[in-house]
Amino acid sequence: MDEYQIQKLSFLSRFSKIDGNLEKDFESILGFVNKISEFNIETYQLEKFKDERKILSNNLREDEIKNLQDNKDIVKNFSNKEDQFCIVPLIIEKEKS
Amino acid sequence: MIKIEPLRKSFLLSENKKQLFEEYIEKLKNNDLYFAFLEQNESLIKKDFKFDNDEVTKDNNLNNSIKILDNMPIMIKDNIAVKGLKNRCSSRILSDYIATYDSDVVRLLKENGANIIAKTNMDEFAMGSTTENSSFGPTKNPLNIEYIPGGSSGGSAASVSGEMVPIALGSDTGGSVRQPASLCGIYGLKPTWGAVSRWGLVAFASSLDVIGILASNFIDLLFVFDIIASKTQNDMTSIDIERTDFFNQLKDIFCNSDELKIKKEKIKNKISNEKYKSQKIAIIKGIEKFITCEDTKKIYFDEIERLKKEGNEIFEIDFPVPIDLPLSIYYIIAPAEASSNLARYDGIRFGKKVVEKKELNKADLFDSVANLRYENFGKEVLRRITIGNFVLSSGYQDKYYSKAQKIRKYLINKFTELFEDIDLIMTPTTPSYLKKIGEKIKPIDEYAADIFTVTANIIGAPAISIPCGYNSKNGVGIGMHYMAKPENDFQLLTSIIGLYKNKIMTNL
Repeated sequence: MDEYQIQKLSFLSRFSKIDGNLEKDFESILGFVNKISEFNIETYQLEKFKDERKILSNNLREDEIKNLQDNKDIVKNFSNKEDQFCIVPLIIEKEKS
Repeated sequence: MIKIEPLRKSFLLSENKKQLFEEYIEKLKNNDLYFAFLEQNESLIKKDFKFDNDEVTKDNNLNNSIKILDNMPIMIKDNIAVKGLKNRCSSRILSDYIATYDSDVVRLLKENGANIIAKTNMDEFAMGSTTENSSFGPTKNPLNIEYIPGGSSGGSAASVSGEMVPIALGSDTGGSVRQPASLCGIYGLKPTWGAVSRWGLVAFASSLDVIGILASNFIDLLFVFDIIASKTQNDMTSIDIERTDFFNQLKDIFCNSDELKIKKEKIKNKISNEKYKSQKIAIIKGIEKFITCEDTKKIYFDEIERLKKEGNEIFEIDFPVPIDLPLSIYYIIAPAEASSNLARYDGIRFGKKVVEKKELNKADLFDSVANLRYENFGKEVLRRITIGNFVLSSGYQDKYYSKAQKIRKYLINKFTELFEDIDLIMTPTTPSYLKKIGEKIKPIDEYAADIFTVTANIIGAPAISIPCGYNSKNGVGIGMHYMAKPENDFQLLTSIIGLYKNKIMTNL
């Protein structure tokens, strides 16, 4: 990280400084969480379906086309609204129905 | 190696509670050894209690005033408010804070006759898996004091495992009840998100936080859970969860007016004679390469064989995402929420007072707040707040936070479908015993201890750790982890009675 990024992070966190150790830990943790950058919901689905079917009971996994569409919908319709950030809406939806 | 037996007879079904209560109180002196609790509620401990089976009570016809928990001694994690006691979250920044009210769970426990006797040590603001991140010093594992008890509810786990109390409450954001329960050889329940009110729990990551139970006896855990699993007005996200017929029948027996001896016999008969349905249990393909402890691996596969032999159906499933991906999701979402929740500790609204001078200009004020936060938060809290702010910052939010939320939503959908066909998902609770006290390991290696537990928090599902054995080299506990469909907490507990009937019956 460059000096500007460290200053910005220290300001956002309301910390007087980010020392060398903290910076080192930060970078190692960032490398760890970076795994999600490599993960693609849609392609992962397509690859995995082939061997999932032979393992599970027939109805444990459903139609792969429907599943792919569902996952595309999650990605397409996802917005940064508060209701996407927690599981409360699922409960509320259930109560409504 | 194992100096104590962490599983104990039921307190609630004990015919000599007074003696049992005194034995527990006597063991509080072991705190010098384990450092399980921080503050003791002396005034309550000294009271001369009347118990359900107390002859004096019966003679005076005072039995009606006995509540269901019958003075059961309980300890509470230091991030759950107990009126009049310090509520420090094991942090220097809250070192002077005394709770002015009871959290919902504490109120419910007190109303039902519990005796809150102490606040337990924890990783600062529940961030950690070792209980070494406490500002007040590390807690030790009663099974082997050279080893960590797990965390963040390590103080609660050690207090139960060290025979100081039969029950302690903890909080579980990514495994903080189940992981220490496993390492300390006791039961650890993480309920469905919302099944237990969070009012009075200091927030770490609000969409993941749940108050859970650590217990040395399954029946005690069951009835304490029944008391705290309640929708309350204070927490609008709390929900009512359905009780199973089997649980209702057990409760009927427990609450009737029979003598304790007869109650106990009836409960034994009920558990013993019940026709439990065989369970559809999913195990995860490829999990063994993540289990780094050979003893854990052996116990896991032995348990699978036993469950199969007893007539349960075992399915091998592919995990809907790479097995270690939920950890990355967790370490994005939890720090992001923590960075927001912990922004309040600025020395003005909450935390140590920052303003000493009468007048401060804007720059002075920022510097004072920044100094106070940097100096009073521990290393792990600093790390997580920094990560949280980074993943929420402009330019990175889509790459990290939004993507993690999308995958979270995907996981919720996948598991909802999965639970239509299976009853339980089984894994070990932890991949290894983690480490000795003081041993230096990288933060990410410590985070890996939560690999099998974080998914339950991400999808809001109930899960439990069942003590199943000990590490042959160091005596640290090994637990098996069962996860069920969200809101099926009592189905999960009923299933566990069926799967572990012998273990549960032995300790009645």
